[in-house]
Amino acid sequence: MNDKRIQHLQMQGIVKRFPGVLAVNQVDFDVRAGEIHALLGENGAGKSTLMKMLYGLYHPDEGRILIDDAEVKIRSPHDAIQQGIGMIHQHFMLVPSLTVAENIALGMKSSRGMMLDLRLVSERVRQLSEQYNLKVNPDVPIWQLAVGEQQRVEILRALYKGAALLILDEPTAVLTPQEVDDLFRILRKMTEEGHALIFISHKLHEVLAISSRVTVLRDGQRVDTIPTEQATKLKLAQMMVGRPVVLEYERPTCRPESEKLKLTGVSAMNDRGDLGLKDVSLTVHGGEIVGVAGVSGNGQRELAQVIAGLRPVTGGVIHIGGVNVTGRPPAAMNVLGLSYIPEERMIDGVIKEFTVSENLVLQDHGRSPYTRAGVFLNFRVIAKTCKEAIRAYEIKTPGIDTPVKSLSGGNIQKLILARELSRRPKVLIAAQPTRGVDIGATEYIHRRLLEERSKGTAILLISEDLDEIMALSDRILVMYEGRIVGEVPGGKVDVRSLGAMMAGAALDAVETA
Amino acid sequence: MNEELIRTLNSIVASATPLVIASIGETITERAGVVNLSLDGSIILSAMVGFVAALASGSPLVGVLAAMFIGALIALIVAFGGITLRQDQVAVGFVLTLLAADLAQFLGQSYSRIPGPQVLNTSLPLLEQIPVIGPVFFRQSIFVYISYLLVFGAWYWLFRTRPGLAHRAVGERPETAFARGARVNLLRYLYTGLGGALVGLAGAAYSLSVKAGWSTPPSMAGDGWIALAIVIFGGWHPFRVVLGAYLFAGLRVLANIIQRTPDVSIPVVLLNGVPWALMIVTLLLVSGGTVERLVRVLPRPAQKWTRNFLRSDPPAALGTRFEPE
Repeated sequence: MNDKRIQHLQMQGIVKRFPGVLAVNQVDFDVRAGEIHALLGENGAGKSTLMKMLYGLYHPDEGRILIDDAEVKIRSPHDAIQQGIGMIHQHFMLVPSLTVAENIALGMKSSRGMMLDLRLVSERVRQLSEQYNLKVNPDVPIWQLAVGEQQRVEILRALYKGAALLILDEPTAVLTPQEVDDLFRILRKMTEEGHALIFISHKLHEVLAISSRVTVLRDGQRVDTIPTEQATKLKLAQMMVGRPVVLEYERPTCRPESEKLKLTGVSAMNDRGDLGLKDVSLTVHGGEIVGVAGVSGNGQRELAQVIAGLRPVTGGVIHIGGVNVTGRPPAAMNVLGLSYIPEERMIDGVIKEFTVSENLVLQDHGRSPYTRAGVFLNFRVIAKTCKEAIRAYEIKTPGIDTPVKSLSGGNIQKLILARELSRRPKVLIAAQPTRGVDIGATEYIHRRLLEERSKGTAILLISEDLDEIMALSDRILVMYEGRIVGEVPGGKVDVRSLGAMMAGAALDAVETA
Repeated sequence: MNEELIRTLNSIVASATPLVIASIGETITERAGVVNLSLDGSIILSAMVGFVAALASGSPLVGVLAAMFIGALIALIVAFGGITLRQDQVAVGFVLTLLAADLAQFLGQSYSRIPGPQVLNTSLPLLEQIPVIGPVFFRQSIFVYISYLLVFGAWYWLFRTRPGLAHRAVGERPETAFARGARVNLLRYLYTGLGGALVGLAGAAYSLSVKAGWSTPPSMAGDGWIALAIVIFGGWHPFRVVLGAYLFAGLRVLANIIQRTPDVSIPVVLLNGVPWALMIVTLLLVSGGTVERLVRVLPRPAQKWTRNFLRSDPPAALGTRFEPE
């Protein structure tokens, strides 16, 4: 354990080339003790690459790193830790079946040589968690902890190793609003204790809320570094994308038509064989977007799959356009005008070895005009339709015969959108439509969804991104432990009360609180 | 306690010993995330080689070492196929088990049913004086004493040492272990080889002690599969594994006794099948959601305890490949 303090860390003129790509180009970056410096940028802007160089996972081709004005070489994460640099990855590096103390002891020197010294580790963990107000019980196995708690274990681990500078890679991606608040409180406490923090994110409001300075990266280059007081959402978004962007959409007033989708008391099992969806009733009218908010794993996945006909219903009834479709296969749903943008786009959305054109006609290849006599594919028509779709939906692909797996996440999502919307759906289920998609494509997808709404499509939007839910929905349903625990009108929504419902509080409890 | 019962218990411990050694070996391997399915053939081949080596050299120790070498060699082939050649561990192990069993019968033909060296029982001074426990546990062969050490050693290693923690992490979440400095694939080779050497030792325990000698068809055929089942039954925990091995051996001895009792007329085939059937039932019980469904029938206070005792999640990365970036 070292109690090294880093007063000032500088990265100067950093360059990193990958075969064929200049990933990071002449970037300067610095962070001081007691501040939170946010690193903002789209996917692929070079944020992670830059930080991986600081943590010793990559090696810069040019440039140098200085700690308190002395140049250092960081060849491996081990070197980084020696220098007092810690990193919290997006995907937690924890072993679920081991306890908190065991996870912290893993890979660390023990005071008893070969023997484990778990009692000592637990003791020190208790001390640290008191000092930083991080509540964690060292003797509980990781799998019993909520995501936010697991993240605290990661932070504790870094502190245990004596990290003076901590890199947080998209730390809020998996947290509820309340957990984000807790995290921010911990981060502020850490800066008070003299730690230097680097906060990687693409969420503008979080950057504005927590950081003291912001550096924006775009295409591997530093756009600018500004004090957070001088930043606004719009300004940062434009710096990220490099052109003016729309953050709030114009939504014509909702003119709900007839009921297009109706669930009455629907229940279903989850993959573990427990009741994952409990007595869910909801309706979606034509021309309205109903948002389903909730923390990951509270039945949203099951809800989407049940409507799409991919998961057996154990109770209740589903109507699409007035027709009872309970227990019908996906093909029957398609005929009735259901389109589905699945959460697991690489598994349920596309066949990744197939080409762009094959994926575009995946559902309709058996129908005219894509097929002749019901057997022979009409390649000319398919190619023509595909080229039109690629143009209309701004899908960036080398050609229609490119395997889908070589496209970016945003472009794959646009492809799925193109396929599903071109079928002129009456009902659209959009599950996590912009997860892992960059701002540009997100904006595009959102505009398309609103267009569909104007056309009179009934849209059920299932998302863990509260901003997305609030920006698009006419009504918001909140799911918790497989039930719908509340409904609030869209438009002006209080994030606090929404967050409380997501954490399991009933609506009336929230209002009286 | 009467002599007869003590003798019976003593023979249960003795006959369970190769199962204990083999299933502890497999536990060590599987805890690192590798499944070595070659156990059955591996035990047979190492039993044969162990016997022949002991016969040729006149030294049981040489036999034991030769058997352990064979066991480790076969296990390392599984590791090589699964880790380096990136093949399916289950498939490689399964083919090897068939190959090794046939090889043993073919190469061992001329050694079938001939007398050879045998490791005799040695009582442990003082310990054998303890009433009941002494005669049951401490008037045994050296293999039995080794098995005791192995059970405690494996437990201590896995749950009380630093390298043991990394060992478990490699089997649960290799990415994490790797990020914390563990050389995942090297460790997997190591623990697969070590586990295999113990499987070989189990083979030697058969041909030099429990079922001394060699015969075709081999008398221990099928026990490797039992050992694999015992690992699952034992929830990958050395203490429960040893319990499973004793339970199974006990059932087998019981079947033998009933067979010899004149008043009971149960067909021999049926009796011989009982331990296997029980094994299948217990496997069905401990794996999957069956436990959960049964536990829910119990009164609430008993539920938590039963669930904890029957908890049997395999190492999460069992049988998977790990490729460092």
